[in-house]
Amino acid sequence: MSDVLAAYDRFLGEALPEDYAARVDHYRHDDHLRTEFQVASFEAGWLVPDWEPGLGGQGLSSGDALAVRVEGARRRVPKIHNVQGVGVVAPGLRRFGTPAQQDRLLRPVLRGDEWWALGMSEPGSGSDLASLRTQARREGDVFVVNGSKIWTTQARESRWATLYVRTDPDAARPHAGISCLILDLRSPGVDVRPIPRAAQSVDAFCEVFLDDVRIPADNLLGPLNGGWRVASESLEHERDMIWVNNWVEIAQAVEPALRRPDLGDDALTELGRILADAEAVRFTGLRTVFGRLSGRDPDEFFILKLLGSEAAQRATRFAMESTGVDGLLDAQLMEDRVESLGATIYGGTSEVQRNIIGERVLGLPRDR
Amino acid sequence: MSAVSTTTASRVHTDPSRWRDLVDSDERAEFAASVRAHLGARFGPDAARACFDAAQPAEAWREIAAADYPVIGLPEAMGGAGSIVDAVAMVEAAGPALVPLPLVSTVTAWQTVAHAGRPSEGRAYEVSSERRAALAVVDGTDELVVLDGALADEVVLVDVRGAAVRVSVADVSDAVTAVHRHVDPGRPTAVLDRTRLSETVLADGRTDVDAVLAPARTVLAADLTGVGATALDRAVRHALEREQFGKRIGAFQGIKHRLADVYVAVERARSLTRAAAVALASDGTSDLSAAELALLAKAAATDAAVDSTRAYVQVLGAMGMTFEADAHLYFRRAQQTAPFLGSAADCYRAAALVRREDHR
Ligand SMILES: Cc1cc2nc3c(=O)[nH]c(=O)nc-3n(C[C@H](O)[C@H](O)[C@H](O)COP(=O)(O)OP(=O)(O)OC[C@H]3O[C@@H](n4cnc5c(N)ncnc54)[C@H](O)[C@@H]3O)c2cc1C
Repeated sequence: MSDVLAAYDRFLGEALPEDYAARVDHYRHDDHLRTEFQVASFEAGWLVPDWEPGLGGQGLSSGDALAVRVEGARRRVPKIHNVQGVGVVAPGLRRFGTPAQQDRLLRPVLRGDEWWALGMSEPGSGSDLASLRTQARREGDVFVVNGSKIWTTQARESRWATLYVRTDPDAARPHAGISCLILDLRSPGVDVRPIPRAAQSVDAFCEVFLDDVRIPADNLLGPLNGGWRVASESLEHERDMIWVNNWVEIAQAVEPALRRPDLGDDALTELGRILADAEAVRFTGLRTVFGRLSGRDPDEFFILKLLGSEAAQRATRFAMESTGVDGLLDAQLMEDRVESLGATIYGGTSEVQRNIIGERVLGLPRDR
Repeated sequence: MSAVSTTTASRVHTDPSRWRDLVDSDERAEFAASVRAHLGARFGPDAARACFDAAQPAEAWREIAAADYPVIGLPEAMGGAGSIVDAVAMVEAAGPALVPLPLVSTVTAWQTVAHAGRPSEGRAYEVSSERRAALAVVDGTDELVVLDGALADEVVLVDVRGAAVRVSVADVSDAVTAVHRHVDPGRPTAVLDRTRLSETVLADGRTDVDAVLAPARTVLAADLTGVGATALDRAVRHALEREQFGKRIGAFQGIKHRLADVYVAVERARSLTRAAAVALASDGTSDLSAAELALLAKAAATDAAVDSTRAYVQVLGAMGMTFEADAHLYFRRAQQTAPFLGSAADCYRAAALVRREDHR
C-alpha cells in the first residue's frame, strides 16, 4: 500500500467508529456521523485531497487523490450530506469566486456548515437548460430577480444557491446571456416549497419562487453573461467521483446475489453482464484519467454517465428480480430501485447523453 | 484493518497506478497505427471478398511473418518481445483489414502456451513467425472444431477433461477432415481428427480452465473489438453522407442513438479487453483475476462486434444486403468468431461463477 493510502487508512481508523465496517449500512445514513466525518475530513485534508491545506486538502497529486477517492468509495465512508456543495459549488467558488466571496463562503461549504442548492432547472427548461427564463435586471448595485426554479435539491436545508439567470435577453446565442448569481435563500421574496417525492431515497427537491429578489451585484459569480462556463467548469470537478461511486454502487447492488448458491442460468448471465458493466465503468474511468495525464482529452469519457447510470439501474432491477417475492419484504431494495431511476434523468438524461455521444464524439449532424 | 467491509469491491486494490498500461504509450500507439496502415493497405474488404471465389491467399503469410506480428507480445524465451498488451493492440489494429489469414488464431495459440505455466521439460516452447497455428479446446469428442484452422501448421490443444488442464501442441499435417467456409471464408472453421495428431505436452500444472483460456479469450476480444470499432466508423461515415427526407440520416435520433449505443458497447469492450491484457501482463499483481476479466472482455467484445456489424447493415439500408457492400464481410467475421471460447452468455455466466467463487 502506498504511503498516502496508509495515512488515509490511519485517518479512517480514527474518524470512524470501530464497528463501522460491520454496520456500514446503519452508519452510512447516520446524519450525525456524516456531519462529523465531513468536518474531520476537512480538517485533516482528506476532503478534497488535491487542494491546498486550509481548503480541505493536502496538495496531493491528482493520481494520489484519485486513489484516496477510490479507497473511500470502496470502504463506503459516510456520504457527504450536501454533496453538490462540496462537489460542484466549492470548485466553482475556487475557480471563479472573488477573494471576498472565497473568504466568506468556501470554508463553510467545505465543512458542511452552510449547505448549497443548485438553481438551474426551471419548469420550462430542463434538458434545454440554455432556454432558462428567470430574469435578472441590474438596478444600481443590485440585481432584481424574478422567475422560478424547480427540482432544486435540498433548497430548504440550504443557506445559499447558485442561481442561473438571464442577464442578456438579446444575446446572439441563448447560452451567452446567462449569468450565475449567489443567492442567499433567506432573502426577502424567496419562497421555497418542497415537492413530495416518489420515494424516501430521492433527495429532497423543491420549487423556488423568486419575486423581486434583490441580490447584491457583488454576488455575481464569474463574468457577467459567463454563467454557462461557470456551470460546465464547476460540474467538471466531480467527473471522476461520479464514475468511482457508480462502479462501487453497481457492485454493491449485486453483492447479495454472490452469496446465493441457487441462481439459475439466466440470472447468472445477467449477473455477469452487470459485473461487466461495473468493471467497464471502472476501467473506462481509469482510461480517461491516464489519458488526461498524458495530455489527451479522451472521447471515451462521454460514455461514463450513460453506461454508469443505466448499469446502476440494471443492477437494482436484478437485485429485485432475483429475489422474487422475498425481495418485496425488504424495503431498502425498492428504495434503491426508485433512486436508481433518477440517475438516468439528473445530470443530463440518457437521451441527451446519446445526443452528446452522437454529435460530439461521432460527429453526426445536430437534429435541432 | 479497520472499516473494511467485505463487499465485492473490497478485494480490489485501490492503487489505480497499476493500470497505467490501459492507455497506450506513444510508442505503442505508433506501432498500432503502423499495423493498421500496413494490413489495411495489403488486405482489407476486397481481399476478404476474394475468398468467396478463391482460396485464402496463403502465400501472403510471408509478409505477416516478415513483420513478426505472430510473435509480438511473447516472452523472449519463446522468440518474442513485449507483452500481451502489445499483442492485443496489434490484433485490434488488424480489425479493419479483415486479414484473410490465421493471424489471430496463431496469436491465440502462442499466447495460450506463453501463459500456461512452466513447460514440463523446463524449456520454453520456441515458435517462429513462419509457422501458422490455431487453438483447439478438447472437451468431449475427438472431432475438434477449430477457428481458422484450415491453414494451420500446428495446433495447440487445451484439454479440459481431467482435473489438471493439459496444454499440448501437435503438427496438423493430415488431421483436417473438413473445412467450413460458409460463414467467413477469410477465416474458415476447420474440423480436426484428434486421433491423427501426435501431441507433445507443454504444461499440465494448472487446474483452472478459465485461467488457462484467459490469454486466448483476451486476444479474441481484441479482434472482436477491432471489428466492432471498424463497423461503427463505417456506419457513421454512411450516416454522414446519405440523405433522406431532406436530411443526412445521422441527424435522425433513431440512427444517432443506435450508433451512440454501439459506441458505448465498443468502448466497454475495449476497456475490459485492455484490462484483461494488463492483468495478464502483470501476472499475480492484478486485483481481479485475469480469468474473470478475460471472460468479461470476451463477452463484451462479442456483444459489441455483433451489435455493431448488425447496425452497420441496418444503417446502409438495402445496400447492406449486397455482396459488393462491405458490411456483410464485417458481420460475417463477427459471427464467425463470436461462439469460440464461449458465447457472450456463456462467458458472462462463467464470469459470475468465478466472482462468486472468489467471494467465498
Ligand atoms: C433526483 C433529481 C435531483 C435533481 N436535482 C436538481 C438540482 O438540484 N438542481 C437543478 O437545477 N435540477 C435538478 N434536477 C433536474 C434535472 O437536471 C432535470 O430533471 C434534467 O435536466 C431533465 O430535465 P426535465 O426533468 O425537465 O426533463 P425534460 O427535459 O422535459 O425531458 C423529458 C424527457 O424528454 C427527453 N428529451 C428531452 N430533450 C431531448 C432531446 N433533445 N432528445 C431526445 N430526448 C429528449 C428526456 O431525455 C426525458 O426522457 C434533478 C432531477 C432529479 C431527478
